[in-house]
Amino acid sequence: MSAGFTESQRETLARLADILAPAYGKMPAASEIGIAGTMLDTVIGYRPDLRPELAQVLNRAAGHESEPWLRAFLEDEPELFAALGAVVAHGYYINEEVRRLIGYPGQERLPFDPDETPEYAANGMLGRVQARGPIWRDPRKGENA
Amino acid sequence: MTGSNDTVDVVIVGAGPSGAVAAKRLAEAGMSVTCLEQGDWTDHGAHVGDKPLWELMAAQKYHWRPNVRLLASDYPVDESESEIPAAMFNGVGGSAILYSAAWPRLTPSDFRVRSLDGVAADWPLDYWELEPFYERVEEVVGVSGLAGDPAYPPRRGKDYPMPPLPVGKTGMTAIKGMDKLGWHWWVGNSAIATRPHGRLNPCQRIGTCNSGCPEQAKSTPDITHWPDAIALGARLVTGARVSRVETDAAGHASGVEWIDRMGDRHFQRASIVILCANGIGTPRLLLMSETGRFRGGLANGSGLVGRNLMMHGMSVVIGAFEEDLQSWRGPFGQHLYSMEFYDTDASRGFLRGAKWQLFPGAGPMAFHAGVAGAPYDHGWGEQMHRNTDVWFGKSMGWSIIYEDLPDPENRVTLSGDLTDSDELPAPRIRFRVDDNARRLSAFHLERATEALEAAGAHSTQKIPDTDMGAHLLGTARMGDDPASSVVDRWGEAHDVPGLFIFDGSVFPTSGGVNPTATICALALRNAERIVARRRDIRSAA
Repeated sequence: MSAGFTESQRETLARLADILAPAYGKMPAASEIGIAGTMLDTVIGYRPDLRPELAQVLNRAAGHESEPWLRAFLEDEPELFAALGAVVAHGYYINEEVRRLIGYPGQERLPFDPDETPEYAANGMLGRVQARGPIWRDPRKGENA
Repeated sequence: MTGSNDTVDVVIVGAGPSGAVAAKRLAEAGMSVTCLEQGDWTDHGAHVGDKPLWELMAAQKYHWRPNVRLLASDYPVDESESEIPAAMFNGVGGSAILYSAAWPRLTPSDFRVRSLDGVAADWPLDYWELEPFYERVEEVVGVSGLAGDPAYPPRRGKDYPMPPLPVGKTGMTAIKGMDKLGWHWWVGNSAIATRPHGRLNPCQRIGTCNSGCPEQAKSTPDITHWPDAIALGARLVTGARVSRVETDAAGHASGVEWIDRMGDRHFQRASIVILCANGIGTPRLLLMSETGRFRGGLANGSGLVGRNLMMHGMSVVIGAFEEDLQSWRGPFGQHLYSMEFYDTDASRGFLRGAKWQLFPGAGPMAFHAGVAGAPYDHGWGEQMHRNTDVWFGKSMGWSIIYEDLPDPENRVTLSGDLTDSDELPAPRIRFRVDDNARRLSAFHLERATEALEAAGAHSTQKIPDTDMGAHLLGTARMGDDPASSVVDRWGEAHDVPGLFIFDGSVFPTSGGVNPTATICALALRNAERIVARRRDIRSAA
């Protein structure tokens, strides 16, 4: 899957992404997980709507890859910045290594037994709600039932 | 235009919850039914909820807002004058495809706001009249829940069809806070199966309910109703966008004009027309159906078509905890709910109230402040990582669904310049959150923050008036007086015999709970009325 970006555009993206998502503690910088390579191809492959705006951003950013430039760009062109931000952030958190580091297995299936007695029923918490009595307002009386 | 050779008993516009309930019941009764739906069927197996791409796709393809999805089967909504954008989905199953599946009933007081609080309007029916229909719908829909909630009258009929969903670590943590405060909470009632139920599979807690359920555990009308309705003889036409409701010389509804995907126009003649196109789509269609006889829109003698739009403003408080709660685990919609502050207490400085529902923290993108549009320092650079450390997997939130009071100036009109892909005028919505609602929201945000702190949250964040108006209500109000309502107590237009409205447009007031259970119960009740009166229903001219 190729997103149709040039090597130069990818290099620009990598530099911008490392400012937006830098290395931090155990977490890698965006370029270290291939944000401008396979992650870009994956994101654009599923969200081709982001491609035109991202291309605009990368063309304008070439040679200006700095935090001050990004801050100003967010102020001046929030919609274009949003496309860049979406590609960087989604690409970063889709990455398997990033997910492993934050302890996120993804949205897993987790079967359960619906007949198991819930903790709130066993420990008396549910009973205390019931013991406080009805709280619904009865329109026939104009007050709580 | 292609004419229809076949006059059907009923043509339904929209295949969402109300359209599905009506179609199934009317087909069961042997009536000929055609439903026209501008969207398509959803392939639940193709949902990406269980795949890494879930949040990426939920941000566009499965987004709540048609103005973000930009599908040809949607229509754009002019929101330039609205404080809250519109959320909906056009397709078989309607907006339920993307709903959280919370399935509460209105409470008895919701039907009597004028009598009890001196504002808004009373409904022309009460809780107990609707109660048996709530119960019947729960069985077909497949609702899981726990009976005995003291926030409601005791259930007089059967228990919920299935036991409740697990509340998880997040739910138990929140319960401890509510227990400490002595505040009401109850385990969520949801249209999500916990056992095999009809065509539904048991929930696997994937947790992506609001962007589609790949497990087919979340109950949606395309699963629970349409296959049966079609087997009973109902005809469902997708890719069919209705452009007008037509009337005969006597002013009786006679059918609808619709446009197929090729742009060809057709006419479906019917003895009865039922609009089930939601609180924006239905008034849009009535306004587009203006004629010389029906100036200002069809069925608009009261001038109320499109007015009193209610969207259920929603405010949110999220809390972060030290403990790993694995808070991406589902179900997403509501582990718990609370009605502690649901009804009017004059000492609070506002009328009415709100239901709270507890949602878990969701995936990592839910906490990406930068993507959400926050200032640079709040969401990018090292702060991005710090946000993930604090919030991801360790958070939960209370959604506060607060009651909008009807305001005639909050309304749906037709856009003068924006059109859909068939060149039909888009709806324009105007919605302002009024002072009562702002005070209500502020009060509830404070209380919900206290609840999270009592549960042990070390950090909280209030988000007033989130950008989602998902409950589209009130724009063709029901009532006994034709001067102050659009349809009668059975959903039939005062001005146009044979024209019915079954969706949330007919709500005189919004209540403070998710409306789908009530929409479906009303649709079933009103469909039964049509069945009972079928011999009186004359054929359209």
